[in-house]
Amino acid sequence: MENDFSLEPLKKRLPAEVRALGACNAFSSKYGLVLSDKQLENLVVRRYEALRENGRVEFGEGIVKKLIIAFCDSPYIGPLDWEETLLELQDAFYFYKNEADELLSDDELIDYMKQTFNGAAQGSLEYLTQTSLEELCRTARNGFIGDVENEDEDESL
Amino acid sequence: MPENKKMAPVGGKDGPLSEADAQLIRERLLKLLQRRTGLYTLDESSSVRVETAQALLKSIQFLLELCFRERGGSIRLLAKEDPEALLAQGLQLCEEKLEAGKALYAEACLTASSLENRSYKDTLTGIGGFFKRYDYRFFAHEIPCDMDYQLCFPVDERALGVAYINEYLRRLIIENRFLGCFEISRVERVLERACPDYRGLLINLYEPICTNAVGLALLEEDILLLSVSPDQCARVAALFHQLSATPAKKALSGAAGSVCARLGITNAPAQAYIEKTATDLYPRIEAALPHGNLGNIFLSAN
Repeated sequence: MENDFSLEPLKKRLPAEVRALGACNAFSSKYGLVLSDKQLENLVVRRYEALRENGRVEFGEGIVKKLIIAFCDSPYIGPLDWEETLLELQDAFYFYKNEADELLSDDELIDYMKQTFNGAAQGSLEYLTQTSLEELCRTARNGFIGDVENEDEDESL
Repeated sequence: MPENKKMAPVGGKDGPLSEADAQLIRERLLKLLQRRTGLYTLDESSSVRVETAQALLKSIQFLLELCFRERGGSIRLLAKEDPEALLAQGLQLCEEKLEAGKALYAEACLTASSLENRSYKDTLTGIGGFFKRYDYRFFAHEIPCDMDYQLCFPVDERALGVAYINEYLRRLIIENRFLGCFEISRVERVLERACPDYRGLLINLYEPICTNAVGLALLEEDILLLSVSPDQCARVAALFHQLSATPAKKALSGAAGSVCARLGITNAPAQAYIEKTATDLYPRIEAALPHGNLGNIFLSAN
């Protein structure tokens, strides 16, 4: 039988995805953060690369939209580093989804990233990705996720 | 081989699909996968590992194939009918098979031989775990248990999930019931002769016993004695020396019939199983005949 049932190459959907993501500009522009079409395309292309590198499959619009909404009000992000920050956050998100062994939902992980980025990390992506997320995922794998959340609450007091 | 190509034989029996149907089926499979992934993650994760997606897709294919087989259709049904409804039918059939499997497992435990064999006991215990761990909603194709015991005729490795387990249990019950027809001490003596460490090694317990019973039936001796003496072996050899392949196989088949009649085995699948055990002896007999000794096929327990 010659029929190939491989899934359609998702990159065919690139223009539609760029358009859909562009709608987020209306929300982030309130904070002075707007992505150009080229930057939006970079984000979508990098999403596929991150998924492939991390061995993941994603349905729907991807995680960037949620990242934009979560991070656009951060005091540590300006228009000049908006795209670069999103690209790194997106990479880190998929990497740590694997590292957490599927024990964290998208919202839990993004919420933790946002709290840490705006809190202990003070806008440092390096601190966020190489220290806090490592610890979060290690703790999640060991089944003590509540402890990390409580520690964060204690620190903020 | 990519997982997706495994759908190919299902569609192939009615000839190649048109490009439009193939495209529609691809899209519908993708939709089903998307929906199952959403259910699996409770919509809390937009992405899953590639391995998880592949397993979910394989499970969908397994469930759809159950549905196609039940209805005598092929993957073309996916182009004509609501995919979710087809999958729901597959899930329903899987549930029914699971219930049937539980009954088969109970029967396998009830008919289990009291012979000592580590892999036999471990496998029976392991299959019990299958019914606790089997997740037919998302991973219906998986067999989450260890099964080391070798049947005389292994189940086709292409069988998956509960379909594999049920077929394995059906065959195991046939073997159990057969072994249960003989006095345990006689069975043990034949097994000792077949494999001195039959308690610890991965061997099939049924095959040497059935072979000896067939040997005795060929000579019209009492099969319940199980042991085939060297004299009797020589008589079997003399019998086969006179026969060419076809009559020899016929004789073996007839002996299998005599064994079934003597043991009161009336169940057709069991009769076929025993007949196949008997006729499969022919290549071994043929190879041993020029050496004039069938003593390593039909075993003397004395």
